[in-house]
Amino acid sequence: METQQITYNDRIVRQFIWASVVFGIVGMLVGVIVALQLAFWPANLEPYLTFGRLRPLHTNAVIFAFVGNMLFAGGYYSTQRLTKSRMASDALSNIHFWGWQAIIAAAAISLPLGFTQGKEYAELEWPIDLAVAVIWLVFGANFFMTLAKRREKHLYVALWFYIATIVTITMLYVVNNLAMPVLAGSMKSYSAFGGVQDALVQWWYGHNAVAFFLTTPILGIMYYFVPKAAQRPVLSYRLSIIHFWSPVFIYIWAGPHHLLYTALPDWAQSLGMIFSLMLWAPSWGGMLNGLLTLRGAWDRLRSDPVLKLFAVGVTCYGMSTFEGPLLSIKSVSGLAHYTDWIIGHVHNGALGWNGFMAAGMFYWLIPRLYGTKLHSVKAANFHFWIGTIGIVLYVVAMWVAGVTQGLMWRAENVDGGLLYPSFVETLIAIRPMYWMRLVGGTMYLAGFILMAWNLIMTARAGKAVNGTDEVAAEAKLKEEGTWKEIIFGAPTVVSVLVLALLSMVAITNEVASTVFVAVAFFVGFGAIVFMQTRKQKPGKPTWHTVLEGRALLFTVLTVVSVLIGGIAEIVPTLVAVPEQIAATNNVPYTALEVEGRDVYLQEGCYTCHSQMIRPFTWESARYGNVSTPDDSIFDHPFQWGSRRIGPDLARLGGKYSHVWHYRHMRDPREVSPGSNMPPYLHLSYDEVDFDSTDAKLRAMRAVGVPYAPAQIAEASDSARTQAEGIVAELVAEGGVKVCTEGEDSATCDIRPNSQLVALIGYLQRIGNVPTPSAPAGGGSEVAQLDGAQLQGANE
Amino acid sequence: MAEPQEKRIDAIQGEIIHVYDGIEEADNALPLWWLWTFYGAIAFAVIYWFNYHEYEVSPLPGEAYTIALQERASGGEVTEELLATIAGDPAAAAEGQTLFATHCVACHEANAAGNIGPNLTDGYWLHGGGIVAIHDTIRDGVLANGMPAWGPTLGATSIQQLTAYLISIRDTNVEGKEPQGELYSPDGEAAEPESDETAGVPAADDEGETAQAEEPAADSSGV
Repeated sequence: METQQITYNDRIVRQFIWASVVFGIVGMLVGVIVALQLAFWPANLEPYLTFGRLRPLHTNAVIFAFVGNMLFAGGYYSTQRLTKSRMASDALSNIHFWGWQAIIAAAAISLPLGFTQGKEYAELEWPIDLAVAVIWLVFGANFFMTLAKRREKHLYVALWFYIATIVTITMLYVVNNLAMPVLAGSMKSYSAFGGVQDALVQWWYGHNAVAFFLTTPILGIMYYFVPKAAQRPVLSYRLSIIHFWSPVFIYIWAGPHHLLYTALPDWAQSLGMIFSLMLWAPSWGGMLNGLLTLRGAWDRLRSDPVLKLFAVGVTCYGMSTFEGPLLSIKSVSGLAHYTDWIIGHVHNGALGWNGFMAAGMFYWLIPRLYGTKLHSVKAANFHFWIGTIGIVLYVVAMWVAGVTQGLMWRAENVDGGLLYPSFVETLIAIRPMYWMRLVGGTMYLAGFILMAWNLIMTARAGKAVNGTDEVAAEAKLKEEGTWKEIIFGAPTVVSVLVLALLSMVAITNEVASTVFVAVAFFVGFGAIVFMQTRKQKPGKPTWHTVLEGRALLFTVLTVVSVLIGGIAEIVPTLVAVPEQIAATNNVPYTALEVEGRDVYLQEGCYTCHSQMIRPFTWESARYGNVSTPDDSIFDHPFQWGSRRIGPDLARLGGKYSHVWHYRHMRDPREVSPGSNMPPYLHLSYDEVDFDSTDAKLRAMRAVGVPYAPAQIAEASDSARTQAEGIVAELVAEGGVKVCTEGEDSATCDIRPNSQLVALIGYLQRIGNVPTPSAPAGGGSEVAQLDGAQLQGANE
Repeated sequence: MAEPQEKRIDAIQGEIIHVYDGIEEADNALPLWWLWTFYGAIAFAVIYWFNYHEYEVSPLPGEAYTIALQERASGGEVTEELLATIAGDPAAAAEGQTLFATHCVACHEANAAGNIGPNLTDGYWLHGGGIVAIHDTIRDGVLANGMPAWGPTLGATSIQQLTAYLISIRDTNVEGKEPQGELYSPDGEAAEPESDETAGVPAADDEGETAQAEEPAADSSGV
């Protein structure tokens, strides 16, 4: 057979590795800073470097910049070698690389400036989102074009995972970021979804960003680099099949486990929980295939830092995927949700799984990409140990903190009062753990910096070399079977049949449901027995072997698998929206409250405060009546939150006076001693431009908030009037000195159209719906007036 | 897939069925414990669903909460006699002082002379200075004025202890925030309106000014 030599594009791999190393250090450094801010509040520097603004920078940097660049590096390296062809287009590769770095730069600037969509891991505003979508599609096009010209007929399991990553992230990212821009010239936008629907879509995205950005591509990388580094055979092909298709199908359903005990409908919560439990074994399939590939190479774990890092990385994956289902059990979530246990859980994944798989891959790749040996094996071993100890300190600290705080929140007296009625007490109790976490995180960062030095020294000792391969000159790939054989093959037909039978549960009564599930069981069980015992004709490829040879069909089936769960959960909740809006007792926010809410988003208040009171006696005792879907129906985006470093705010409105809020925002410790909240003095002087408030209301109306045209037209005046009312009370009750036009902030306390005034307007309105007949406390007259106008307009 | 050039059987992993870019792939059977974990989770999922959503045997979170609320002890009726007894107990007042230092000083100051909230040591009360009125104001709050309802958070006993403490400092007249509300006298208590959220405020300004001028006629006989 005639052969030819091809050269792989390894330059792009090197670029992505260095980008990943740099942004890994940056992302982790920001992580260390925000950890310090929680333990020691003076580390919050106003206005741009407060916790609420830096925390999104930390999460986005680690997820999209560090892991993103790492998975692109591993993906480009392995894809070329598994397809035996150079990436389809060098131009697309370069656009991908530089486009992605430009997005990271835009994120690093815009997040501290307060530009945010207010949804976790989806904070980037719409212009950057558009860029992400375009660059991601460039990556996808490059990848699929390479698959199309591959010289290897069958797709290795690593490629399956890359396919799942590319198509699923496209779907998740686009849907969750659907938003209405306020003005063509501004970065500001409002989520297309509100309240319950936004919560569901956000965690469908948030959970599956973990699944399909931090997990599936890294599993692909594991399947390539672990056997390469260990030089041992992969444990089991059939395990790889089942552990690919089951998570791809099941993962999507698990999103609602982030919303247990919330106002999300019970059926969706239960689906989230049971699918999470079903995810445990399939996830462990990946761990088994990774760890047991090391069988026969265990002895080398002592000497080879790459294998050490991989072994601990995969073990952390196993721990995280056990802990995840555990935390998804409703009663466990009742204790752990909103606590640091969750923070520990994700860092076990991020530091252990992502970080160590990245480090192992870099230590293995850089010497090969520069044609030399690793500069210092000793330093790499030291990195391994300091990193491992760092992870243990971090995770244990967060376990202790989480369980402690969770137990303190729920502790009740015999007569029904709370044992720890002051929220700050529960925070002070865990502060030592915050210091311990800081130590662990710092150790991990130190190890990572050591790695960077080691990699640089290695690269400097060698010279960049590009991999080459001998391949058949004529790549002729013979089809083994038609698409009909796949679509009408036993696995597809049985899957469709079983799913159709199970879906009847949603529309029939309990007796019929029982029958349908029983039939589904017998069909599924019978099919498994039949397929296991059936004699495969010698020489005839199996169904899955045929599928592995047809990349497009493989991709289509993957898309179908990931679509089912999302559609089943999201569509029924979206369909219910018009009915819910027609029946609501809530009224949209006034113009000033909208502006105040934007300040709340801008400062990232949701990173520490939830707005979701769960149905527990100890929650309603502390925060007020249990939250309902109606409470957040006009919230675009929803602000239910995921962590309580401060108390829940769902029923804050009217609880304290304007003066209390004024003093608390300027110096939280004056009214709440022991608090670790950053001070927000600058909000008293930063002004809101009420002239553009009507544009905000118009954008809100476009996403379904029923503002009357008159209300939009009078937005600016209404906001000013309500602001004057608040300022007047601050003057009368608190002796606050109002700034005159252009007065220096040193000589006065608050500007009349400041962000703080708008924020107080919003804070007094949360969970405090004004009613026209009997005004609730706190809401000003303007708020009630607008509510009445709206009700009139709606009738 | 590259079929292996020649059939190789690895000593540990068994027969090699595929080779990709030098990566060998074996095909070991799925571990039984793993398989049964998977099947078990699926079985649990079905049972869970039918338990909660088809046959509705076990209560969902919302129903469970309603049951928990019903089971919760009501704490019994609070009467003037009960409160008077507790107010006479110095230990209760001392407990109340500790609670006050934790929860109340942010608005009422450490010496209770008022800051965001009113002065609690003078004879003037916005929502009634009688023992029951004070108790109810602490328990239920005055949302219009930014006074939280402490009953659910602190529990019945703590509210009674706080009441005892406030009775012990009533009419001690620590210098601080100017008097607000109406002058309390024990004889007039019966005629006093129920703690009304809106009525007290406008009246406060008128009477507050005159009250400032005159020496608060301390009637501390009740304490």
